[in-house]
Amino acid sequence: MLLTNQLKTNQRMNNIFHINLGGIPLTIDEDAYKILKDYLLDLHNHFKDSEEKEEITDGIEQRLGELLSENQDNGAIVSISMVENAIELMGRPSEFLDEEPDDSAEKTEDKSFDWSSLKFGRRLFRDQDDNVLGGVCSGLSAYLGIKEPVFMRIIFLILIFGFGVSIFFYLLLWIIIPEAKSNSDRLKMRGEPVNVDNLSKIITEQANRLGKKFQNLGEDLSEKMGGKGSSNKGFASKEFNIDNEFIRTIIDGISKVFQFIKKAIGSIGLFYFALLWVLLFIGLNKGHIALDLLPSATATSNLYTMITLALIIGLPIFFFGYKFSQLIFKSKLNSTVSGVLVGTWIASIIGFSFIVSKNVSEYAESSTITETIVLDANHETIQFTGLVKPFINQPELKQISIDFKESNIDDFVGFETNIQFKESKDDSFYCLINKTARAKNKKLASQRAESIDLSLEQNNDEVIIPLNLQLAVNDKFVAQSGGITIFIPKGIQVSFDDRVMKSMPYFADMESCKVFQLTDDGFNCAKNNPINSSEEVIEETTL
Amino acid sequence: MKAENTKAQMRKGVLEMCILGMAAKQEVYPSDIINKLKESELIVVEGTLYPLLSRLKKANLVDYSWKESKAGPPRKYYRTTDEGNSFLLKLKENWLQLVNAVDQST
Repeated sequence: MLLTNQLKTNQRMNNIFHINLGGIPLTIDEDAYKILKDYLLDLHNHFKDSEEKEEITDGIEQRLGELLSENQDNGAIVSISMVENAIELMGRPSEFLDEEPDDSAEKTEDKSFDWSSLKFGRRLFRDQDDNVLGGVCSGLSAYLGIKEPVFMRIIFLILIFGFGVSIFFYLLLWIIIPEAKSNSDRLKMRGEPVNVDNLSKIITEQANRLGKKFQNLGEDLSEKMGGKGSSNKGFASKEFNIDNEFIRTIIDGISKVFQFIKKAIGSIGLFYFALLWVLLFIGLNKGHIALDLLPSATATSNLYTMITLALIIGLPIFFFGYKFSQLIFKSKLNSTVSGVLVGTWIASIIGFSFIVSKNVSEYAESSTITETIVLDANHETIQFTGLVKPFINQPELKQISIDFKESNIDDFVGFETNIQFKESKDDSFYCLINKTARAKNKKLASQRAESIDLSLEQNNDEVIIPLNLQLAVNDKFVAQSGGITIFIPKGIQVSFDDRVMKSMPYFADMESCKVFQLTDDGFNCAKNNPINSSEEVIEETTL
Repeated sequence: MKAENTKAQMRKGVLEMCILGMAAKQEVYPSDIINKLKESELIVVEGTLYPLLSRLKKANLVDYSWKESKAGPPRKYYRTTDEGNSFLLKLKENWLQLVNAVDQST
């Protein structure tokens, strides 16, 4: 046990890189390479707004190369301690005496501007050093102060099975959260202690950034829109001639493809949400009646549904809008605010899933009720008249300006009665009415079916057929359906009004016929039925 | 007004003068400047030099030329321009005035 521990600490196996630092070839240990790379990234970040960036960084890189190569003659490999010594000698960018004198006014303004980030200390980044995919989970963990990112990953995995939303959510975060590129980013990700040193550093950084912000607006935009990739990436592949150029090229290629895919997802997502947003506005304006018909709908739950829907769709739009303004103004979303927004969004999704599952449970059981009505056939001609009623007997729903007397049954998709005419086997004239509804359990389902208003009425020779169902007051639409099957004995003369004709497609080719008779081969025009004269038909048949 | 800020500003001004002075005498390599400045404890971290050099270059006070080195890549050697020489003279004048003033008043 002791032996293996010693092996671990003293003779750990490490990769060695051959690099070219400021034109000086170096052999460097992998861990030392990482530290050096972080330092150089910091350096490039620090001077990225400076016109003489190349000149300054080239000089420092060459000097670093000289410092590190002092021991190379005897074949030594550059180690962590050597890199650390050299960096200490060179100093951190923030220690350089190159800051321009600041306006004190600007300083105080900045203090208030960045107050929250001083207070909370942490920024949300993706951690690409500890990643499975995009480092979103490890970044979130660091942000929330959870030591093991595994827990965050488990939550995401569970959410995939639970709601399936976390895949989409992950992609969204991948796009939105910036990657931690340098050491200082990583510090910010874990949260730095707020001391005088950090305070003054942040203030000067902010002052610099504000000053350069508008100055760099144009070039920055063109660079980003052109999709050149960040300047840091370019520098990494240019300055570090890592041995295996071939693999390097492949990795670069893959990362470019990935960046393109991310951008594509981003723009598709933006378009998708813009579309949804429009639909949502239309939906919320027109659809509150539809919401009322949801099985578990009450005034409160409808409000809840509307709010959660608006949040689910609206927040990502806000995020995308913010991302876009970030491109233009280079500002950062306050991490606490974004945390709250993300939290609200997740809560909305959970709430909405709850509403949906509650509604779905109302469809669990189905029940059908059948009743028979005997009709009187002792008339010369039976006249079938179609009747259209408001599909739900609720006062507020009558606001919809539909003229029920004039409207077609086509306007009530999903509520129409299934009407059938059949030959009666035993010469009796009757009809069967069946009503079906769904609910949480059988009993409720049969109660609901019972409450459907669907029946037939006969006034002398006129039989009135309801062409649509009418739901009971305060009932919801839970896939109720109803059918009327009318059994007609052979030889009886029948006629139908226009609405009944229209609801039965097989009469389409007999439009000119007004009075029918049921024969062995279906409905036929009655013999004493003069063609093309409806008024006369009635007169003659009643004679 | 902080003593720390003033010190940094003063140090920066003096540093610029010293760098110009060195580059006025002969062509100098940044690493040589660093070694001399460190002897006199004028700079704390070496990195300070490079932004200063590039600022002087931008102000057209110094210029550099590339020279082959015995080992390693070609090096930049800095030398003051005519403008830099006259600027240095003025700086020295000002410096002497300052030193006199400080001597007399403290």
